[in-house]
Amino acid sequence: MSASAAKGAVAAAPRPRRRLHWTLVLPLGWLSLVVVLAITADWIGLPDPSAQELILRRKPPSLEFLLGTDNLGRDMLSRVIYGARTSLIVGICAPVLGFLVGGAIGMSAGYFRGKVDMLAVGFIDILLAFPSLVLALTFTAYLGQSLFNVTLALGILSIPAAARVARANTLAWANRDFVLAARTIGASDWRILTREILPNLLPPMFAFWLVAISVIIVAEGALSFLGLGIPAPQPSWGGMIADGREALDVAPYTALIPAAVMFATVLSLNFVGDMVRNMVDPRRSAL
Amino acid sequence: MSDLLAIRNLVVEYPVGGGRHVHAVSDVTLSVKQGETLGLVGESGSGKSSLARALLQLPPPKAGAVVFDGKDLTQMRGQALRAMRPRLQMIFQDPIASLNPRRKVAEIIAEPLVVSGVSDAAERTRRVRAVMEAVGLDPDLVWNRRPHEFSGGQCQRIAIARALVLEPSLIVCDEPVSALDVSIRAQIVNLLEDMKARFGLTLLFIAHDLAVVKSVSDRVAVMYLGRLCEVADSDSLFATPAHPYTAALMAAIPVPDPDVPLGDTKLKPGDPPSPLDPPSGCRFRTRCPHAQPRCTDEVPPLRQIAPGREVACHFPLVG
Amino acid sequence: MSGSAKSPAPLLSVRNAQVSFSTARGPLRAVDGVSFDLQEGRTLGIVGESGSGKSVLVRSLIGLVGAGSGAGVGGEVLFEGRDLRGLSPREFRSILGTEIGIVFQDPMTSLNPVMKIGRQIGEGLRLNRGLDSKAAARRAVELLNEVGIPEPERRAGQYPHEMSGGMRQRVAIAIAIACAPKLLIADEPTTALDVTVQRQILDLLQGEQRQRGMAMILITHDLGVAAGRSDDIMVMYAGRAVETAATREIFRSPRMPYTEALLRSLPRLSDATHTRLSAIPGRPPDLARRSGGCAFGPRCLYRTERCDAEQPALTRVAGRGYACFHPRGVESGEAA
Repeated sequence: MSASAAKGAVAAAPRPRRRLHWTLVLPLGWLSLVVVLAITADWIGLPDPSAQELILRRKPPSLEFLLGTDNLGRDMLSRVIYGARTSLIVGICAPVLGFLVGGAIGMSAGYFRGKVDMLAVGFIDILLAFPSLVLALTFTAYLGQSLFNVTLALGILSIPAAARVARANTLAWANRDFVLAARTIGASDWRILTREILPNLLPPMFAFWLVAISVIIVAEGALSFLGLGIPAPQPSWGGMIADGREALDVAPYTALIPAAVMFATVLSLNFVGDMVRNMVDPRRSAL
Repeated sequence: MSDLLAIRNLVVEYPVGGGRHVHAVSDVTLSVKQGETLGLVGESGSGKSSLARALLQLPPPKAGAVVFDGKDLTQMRGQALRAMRPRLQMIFQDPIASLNPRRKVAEIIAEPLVVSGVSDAAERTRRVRAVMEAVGLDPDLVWNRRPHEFSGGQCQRIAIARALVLEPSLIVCDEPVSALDVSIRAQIVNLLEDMKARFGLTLLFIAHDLAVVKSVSDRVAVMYLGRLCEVADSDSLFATPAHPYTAALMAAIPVPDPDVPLGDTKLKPGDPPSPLDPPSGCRFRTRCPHAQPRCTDEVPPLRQIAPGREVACHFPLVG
Repeated sequence: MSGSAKSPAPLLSVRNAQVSFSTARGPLRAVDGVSFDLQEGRTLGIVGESGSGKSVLVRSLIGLVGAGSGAGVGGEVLFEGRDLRGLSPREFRSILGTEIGIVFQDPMTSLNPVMKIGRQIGEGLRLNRGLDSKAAARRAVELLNEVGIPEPERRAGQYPHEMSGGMRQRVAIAIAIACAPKLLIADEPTTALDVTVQRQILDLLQGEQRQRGMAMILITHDLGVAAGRSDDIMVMYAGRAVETAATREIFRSPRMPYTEALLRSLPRLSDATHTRLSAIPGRPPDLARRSGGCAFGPRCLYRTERCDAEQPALTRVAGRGYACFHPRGVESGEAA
């Protein structure tokens, strides 16, 4: 045996133990900050987000106004935080509606196949065929602009995506032997759907929900930017960006600050969503 | 011994689009006697797994009768069929995939009891514990765990426990040890034999490994491309195979003994045909060394050539 | 390995191969100090169950498991005198194409689904042997014929999904031997195939090997396959080589209790029906939770205190190797 054989030293690639990687600490931290501030907005002594002071308009960030003022003299920090509340409410609640309805449709389609599947897929395709903006427009024009209606409209728009995720996952799980085993013991379809398939759908749906939140936040932003979303003076990030559009040459921060906050939040949601999706992969024996 | 299960003229077909069908099982007539282990052997495309599922009406076969303890399952629906289910159970090839990864082991084994209406939780606990001990699992160690924490062999034990908890008469074992490590197979085979003896079970044992099949079966049936080739008691079948396919299978199996020369399968070269488009007449004729024109024209019927031996061949090797 | 004292330099010489993965549960030694030689033209069967490390070992030899995948790899691998461990990825790639051919278990995933068969076979020839497309295409058809595929010209224009499993595996073999390698590695080449097809594929592999004078490493969990097709066998357990010998000796007189127990537990066609199988208790060890001592100890009939305390090294005697303090069939003071 040669001398080099004795050197069987193994340099195992080091990998951090089970603590959060720095790429997760930042997003989670940011999200926690946003959520906490949005919840406690009323109690931390923020100035009234609707209080206009035309003399103080378009002031850059300073000690008095940490994020400056917008073109009606309203405190940006306060507006951003109250805007977070709007975005989060819409962002969290709209997908829930989407999942309840879309999830049910998708599960039925994936489990029963045949005509049920055809109908469900057809329905989804029809919903998807509507330009989402037009649909949202129709809603708010018909029913009026309000937080509830915007949430409802965006919720309906998220039904197809949720249905697709639910259907794809149900298809994968429904073919597994443990579902067949449940049939051999005489379990009813309802029992199989709720006790066997649904528990396996929850992790991927949760991961998808996190991503959906970020998409809805951007969508709400777009609607408000177009003036079709949350009506003034209730602050919303999209609305703030719209307001700041006119002043882009003189006071760019009035548009860029809410845009940056939205960007950071959406990015953080995507990071966390990816992490959850990685954790959700079915566990199998390693080697 | 009376027949516990009588399969008559079973046909199973699946549509695969474009008007084509997979002829998974074509006109199979077979019976399983009370208290025996019937081995069912075949390669992929033979239809053995489709047959197993059709027995349990999952889904029901296209045609034919499945008479279990005097009642034809193919004529039963809904509640009546569900009432029969506890008596016919199944264990599957991939033990880990046959268990719901998100449920605890105790729940998995108790599920059949819940579904069949055992409402008393204490009773369920007692029966689950009993069946766990019977299969060699320590209830206290496995109760709250999930399947991914266990090895393949242990998962198969859990699956066997689940199949036993309703005290069935017949258990269909679909390749129960093929996916397991070689050193574990003997354990599970022994376990199945023990369970059979202890609970008076009848087994339908499906496998492609002839040695395992011989080890557990009283009688053996060989399938090829949806049809039965031969049925005989274990010893006769392996000592003097009557069907050329059975002989080819036996010659092809690698024997763990370097002094045994490689057998000559005598198969004509070429791929096995597809069940989408099986050959006319005898389906084995495209690979059979003894094929004659008659084999193309006539489907050989399954006929008795000796007491307890049936062969579907125009020119059997025996009889 | 083959017993003769004055054998020529081996084609492949592996010394103290190690592969270690970092997992959430701690370092996992998938391969823990394996050494063996392989002479030209001989077939080595590597036998083991899941967790034995046989696949990881061979993949690490040819650079398929390496620093890139987060694994720590050690030891020395000499192929025709060159240490493969020190090669750059590029040098590795040229060797893989020409000197070493590999056939994997699942032809559905080892073949490119969107490339025609003929092109896949010809790729190695074009890249490594400098053939132009026409010459490569012709050679591809010749190879398809050689591996027993009927109508080779037509088949060369098909895609993998248009072929059966057995045929795809023949194509995989054609790709592996296209550049006339000196060593052919077959990792469970027939496990996914039917018995009758398996037979044909193994016959083909052996035929090609003999015809071309290649050395072969045949990895399998099926002792029947190993018995019929290999000259020498190395049995692996929990990442280590626990027994090495010529095939006949392994089956006639196994030294390792594991090998002996494994052979005894197999059902055989020569047994009568309902013969109770002699099962091995317990199950293969969890590699992440290894303690000192022999890995097979907990399941071994002949285990003593020494087996729990010390891990036996591979003892080489008279052309055989075994890692056991109480080897079977050896007269010693510690006979069980």
